[in-house]
Amino acid sequence: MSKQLQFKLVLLGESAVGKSSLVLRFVKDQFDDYRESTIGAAFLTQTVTLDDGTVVKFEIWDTAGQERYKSLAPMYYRNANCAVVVYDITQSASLEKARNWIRELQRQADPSIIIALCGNKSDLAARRQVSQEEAQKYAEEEGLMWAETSAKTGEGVSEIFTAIAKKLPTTAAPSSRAGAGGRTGAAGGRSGVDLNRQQNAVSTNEPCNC
Amino acid sequence: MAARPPPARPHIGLNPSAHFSYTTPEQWGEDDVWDSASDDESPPNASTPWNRSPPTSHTRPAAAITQPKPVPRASRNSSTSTLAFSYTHVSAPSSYPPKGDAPHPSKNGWTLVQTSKPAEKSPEGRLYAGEHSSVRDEEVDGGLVLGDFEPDLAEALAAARPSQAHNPVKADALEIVNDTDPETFDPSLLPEPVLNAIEADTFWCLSRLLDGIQDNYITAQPGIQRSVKRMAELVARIDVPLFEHLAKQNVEFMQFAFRWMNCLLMREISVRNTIRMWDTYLAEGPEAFSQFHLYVCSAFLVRWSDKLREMDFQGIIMFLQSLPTQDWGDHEIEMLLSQAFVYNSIWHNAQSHFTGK
Repeated sequence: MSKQLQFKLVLLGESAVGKSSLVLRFVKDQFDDYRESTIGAAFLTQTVTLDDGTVVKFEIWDTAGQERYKSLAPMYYRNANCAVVVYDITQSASLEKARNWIRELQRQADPSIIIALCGNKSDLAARRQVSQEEAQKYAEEEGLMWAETSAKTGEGVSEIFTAIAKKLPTTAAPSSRAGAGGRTGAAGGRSGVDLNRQQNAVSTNEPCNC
Repeated sequence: MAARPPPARPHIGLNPSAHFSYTTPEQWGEDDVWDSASDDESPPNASTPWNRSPPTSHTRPAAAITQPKPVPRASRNSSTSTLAFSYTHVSAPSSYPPKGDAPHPSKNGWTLVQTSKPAEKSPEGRLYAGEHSSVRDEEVDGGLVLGDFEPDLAEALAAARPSQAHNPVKADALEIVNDTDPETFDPSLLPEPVLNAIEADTFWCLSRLLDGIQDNYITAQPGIQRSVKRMAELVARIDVPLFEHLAKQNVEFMQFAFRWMNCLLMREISVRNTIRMWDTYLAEGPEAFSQFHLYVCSAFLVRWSDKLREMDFQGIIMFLQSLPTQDWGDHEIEMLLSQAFVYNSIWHNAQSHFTGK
């Protein structure tokens, strides 16, 4: 019986760097030339089987990159086990944005979070603005995983997710939500208490006069 | 619920009493499609709770030709409207197909057009009969600049409504319109006077749309945050088992309802359905896009309650981000709006029952 592990993964990065395309390639092995911009966030799952037979299931939150949705991000990286911060190798400004996300994750997210920096659109190397050396050097300084990918050709996509899966703890209970054994029970119990308290509050402190 | 005043710019011609009633082809049949009031869909003598405004007959004196006029026939519509070709006409297919031989079949839902003998439809001999369109166009432009364009728009419509038989361009355009989905329709195929009328309507609709939801789209989107929170409070009252199940599965309303608020359900339902739904919003008043929409979203969620309560976190989120609404027609939208109206009636003036918990 092989081990089943479940982890929460969040994608962050500037708008139009290819976060949704990266996930689509990873999850469905597809690529759309035209994709609607993500609103809020999209949720997907995918499993990776490691060499030792361990099955790692990713619960992926693909967040919207547009600046206006920034305030939603903490909801998605909170409790995340791993984050993929994506930039576009043809846009140097997107690496700057990626640095901001990484700083924010290092400050606010779970300290044990595994962060991968991902330079997408490697098929457009002719228009490259971010050199591999620059990105790699930054990733090493910050202790991040790093890779270049192309959601369009599929190059490097499954590799980076597999690399993350290998780096995730294989023993610790993942901090995922529903479906993760003991946590579900605890969460259920806690919400039950909350609900009771709410009901009590309503009966003793009824806000209306009827 | 008290009767609401008609829309501030009544020329949009949405009858607040009609939105939850079935369309009877007899009504449509008699419609003069260039009168916005023609979207009075209420069956005659219907006395349903939806009829919020009492039937009124317009008995206006025949006034100067430039005055906006009510529909010639006795109308139950309390709003006076002149601008035609509003969304209601352009889209508004009904899930209740025309029966019998209504003189104006709404082919593929396109109910504009018709009137092969427009003169018969205007006992007052008004507006369009025999008007020359180029003259009228100039007047429209002047009216738009001056800001008081309602009377002039009436004339624009007059200009835009020469009889189909005498206007091959329009006949062609209508043929095109009839066979085209709103999502793919190319407006450049329409004659200019029609486009002008649509432009004016569009401007009004967009103003109305944005007036109520500006704080949805400012920094940190407080309007959406507030709406999602209120929606959760509402669902906690109208469907306790569902709310508890979502809480137990750690589903946060923000995770799915954010998009519902941000895009006003456009990503959840087709463009055609969206037009039908927003049509009601436009008629419901300036707050509908922020307030009534809450109740629509709540009804939309609760609609799937039975399914959702059997799903876990992943199932719920995946289901809610790709809902099976592809086959929805007007009927489903009207049921949704009806349910939302019920919730709105029950809860909107009972805020303390579901806030401050």
